[in-house]
Amino acid sequence: MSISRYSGFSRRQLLSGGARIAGGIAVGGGLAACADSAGQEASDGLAARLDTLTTRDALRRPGHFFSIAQFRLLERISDLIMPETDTPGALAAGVPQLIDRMMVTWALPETRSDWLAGLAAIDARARREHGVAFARLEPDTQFDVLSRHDGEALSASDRAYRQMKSTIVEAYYCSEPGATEELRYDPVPGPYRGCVPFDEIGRTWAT
Amino acid sequence: MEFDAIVVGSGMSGGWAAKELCERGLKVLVIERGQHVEHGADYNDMQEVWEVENRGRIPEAELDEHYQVQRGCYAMNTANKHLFVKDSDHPYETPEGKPFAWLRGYHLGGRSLLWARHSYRLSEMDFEANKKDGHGVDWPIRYGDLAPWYDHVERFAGITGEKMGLDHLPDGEFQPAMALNCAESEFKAHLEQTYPGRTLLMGRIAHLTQPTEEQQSLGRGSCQYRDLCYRGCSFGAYFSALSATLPAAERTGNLTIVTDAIGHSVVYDPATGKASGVRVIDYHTKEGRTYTARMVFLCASAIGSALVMLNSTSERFPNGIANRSGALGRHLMDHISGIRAGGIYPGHEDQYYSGKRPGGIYIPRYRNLPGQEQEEFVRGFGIQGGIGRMNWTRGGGEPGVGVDLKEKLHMPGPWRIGLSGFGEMLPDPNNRVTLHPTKVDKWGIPLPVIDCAYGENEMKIVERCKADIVAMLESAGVQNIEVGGDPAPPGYGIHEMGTARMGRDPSTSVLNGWNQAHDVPNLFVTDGACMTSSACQNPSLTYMAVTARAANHAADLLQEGVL
Repeated sequence: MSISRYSGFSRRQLLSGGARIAGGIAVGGGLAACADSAGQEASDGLAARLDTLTTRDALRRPGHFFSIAQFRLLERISDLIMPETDTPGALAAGVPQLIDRMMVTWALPETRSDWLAGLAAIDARARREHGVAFARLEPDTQFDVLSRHDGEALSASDRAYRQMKSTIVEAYYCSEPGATEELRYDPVPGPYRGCVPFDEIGRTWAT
Repeated sequence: MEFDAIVVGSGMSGGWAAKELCERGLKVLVIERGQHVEHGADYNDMQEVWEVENRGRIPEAELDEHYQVQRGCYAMNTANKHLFVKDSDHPYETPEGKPFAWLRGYHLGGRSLLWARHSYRLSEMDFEANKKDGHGVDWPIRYGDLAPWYDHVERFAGITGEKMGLDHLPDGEFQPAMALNCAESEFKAHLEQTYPGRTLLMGRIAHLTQPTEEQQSLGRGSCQYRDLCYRGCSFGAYFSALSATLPAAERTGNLTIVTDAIGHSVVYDPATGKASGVRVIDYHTKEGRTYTARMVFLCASAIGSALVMLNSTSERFPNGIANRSGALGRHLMDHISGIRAGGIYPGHEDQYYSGKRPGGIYIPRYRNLPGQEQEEFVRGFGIQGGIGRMNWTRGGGEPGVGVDLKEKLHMPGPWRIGLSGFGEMLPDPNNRVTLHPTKVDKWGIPLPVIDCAYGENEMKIVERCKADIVAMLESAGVQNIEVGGDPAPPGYGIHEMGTARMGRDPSTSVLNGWNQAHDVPNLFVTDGACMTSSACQNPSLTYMAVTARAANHAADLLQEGVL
């Protein structure tokens, strides 16, 4: 986990106390639902100061796409979708960082908007159902909110959510820990055996 | 330097022309329009899955700007992007409402680095088809003419497969076949029992499973079952010009390769009535130069070779060299592709496989065979596909998050079957490639205009094929069957052919039975352009066989002093 390169915040700060800062940053981000959460922090001095910044880019960290608030939300969602168990989860696999990099080096503006909308929709659900930003909910409540969102978004063929979930899943299982620790990975199998008792393999082939 | 032969193109066909001519002692110059690619060093097949840039996704803006057509190729990703052309550099035009996908790579080895490697012989039925039903002209050769050359190229290239004894899909010189998996074996048994006359076999693919001494001497080894073929194979386990034919040509000491040299035209010498050489444009400097030789082999792909010929005008051939017939550029065919259906194949949950097999199953043509009642269409189709267990990729679309999801994906999902038809296209003179009258590319060469569409017979084949696939899936108890929509537009089969067809009559065809231009005796065209009909089998093996045959014939003629 190399969270330290994100502006010197520790993981703990990002997961708990960072909400104020994050909310403030989202004000200028032009992102409707995350901007909602910023309303909570309207009296926050930092938010007021950041409010004076007018360009979206100025609120972003150089070389990154997501604002700190958005990134923190992405981290939580990645962690909830692919948690650490007896094997590493999405955070240890660097999934949020990969996705942030993909937004910079791969995605078109429309795709980026989809991602922001996908994150915003989850945050909006938290606010609708619990009156606070997703980031401020207890982990168990976050899990409940995301689980319900997951079921409804998939059955409604919500493009943004489906893209987000499948990319998080892919980024995880194609990571080194995801492929080699959680699943079975053999880059050079050598022989091919077409019909093998499953117990001999024991889990899904990563590739 | 004096050359006996110039070969234009270094891919599937060009590699074979170079090898055979060099081995016959001729000094050969291979002209490749694209960049040099080094076998092994320029492949990304040793990247771990987590090292592949952006998990294989090419930046969307780059796709929009440079790969509007190529992005439609199933095989393209960040690890092999350098093996596809930039459409922005190599445009072509199509009439409104008639899309044609020209999927290609310009580099040493050409599309032999990116092919799907299925290798099937055409049969007597295929060579007789035009004569029997009257579509197109008669092939000037029959299966017997090509059979020894199929043997020859299969032994060298290395084709895995099982002998089945089918008249309409002749057996070859095979290396041991790859195995079917448990579900495929059961599906085969069920299919063959339910539908007498239909056969399912493991695809015959150009991979080594028991390398010969000759193959080993070229540095080629056995397939490692990585299924990373579309990145190039450092083991040289699948056949390509870079793993096999060009190294074989090179070790004769008779081969010269020039890359970044775009074939512009064949130079015609009215005094001798022969081709005297090839004019090229330098990719970098855009300057022209001419190479001379005693014979010319065009192996630049069906569309590529036709364009070079159309652009080779002279007083004798104002409409393109060797084009007295007017057939040049016409009768463009592909295979109808994208006829698909699939679903969940029940059972076998306690079974799996080990290794990633780089090819699937094949159901050879079973309709309109000799002796059968004829359908409401002529010709036929074959079906490819496979059955495998679903992996973690199903996770993006299935409900559930967290530990439950992770535990679920820890185990493979159900087996899933996918079948995909490849249909025969008839030769139609209206399906053609021409030179744009005014527009030129960066190198001053006229843009191709590709005008190609499926006809009535093709659409009947699509309907029958799709219905057959669905019925076969249903009869096997496949669940949640999903059926694809319209077939892919022409081009997506990536089997272009027919633009300089062989024939018996110089007034209706461009080439004779030796791939030799009727009108210009030292000009040979041995890529897909030569095909008089398309059959429904993957065509590369046939291009290899006709090339080897033509090259040896040309060497004979040179030896005899005829050329």
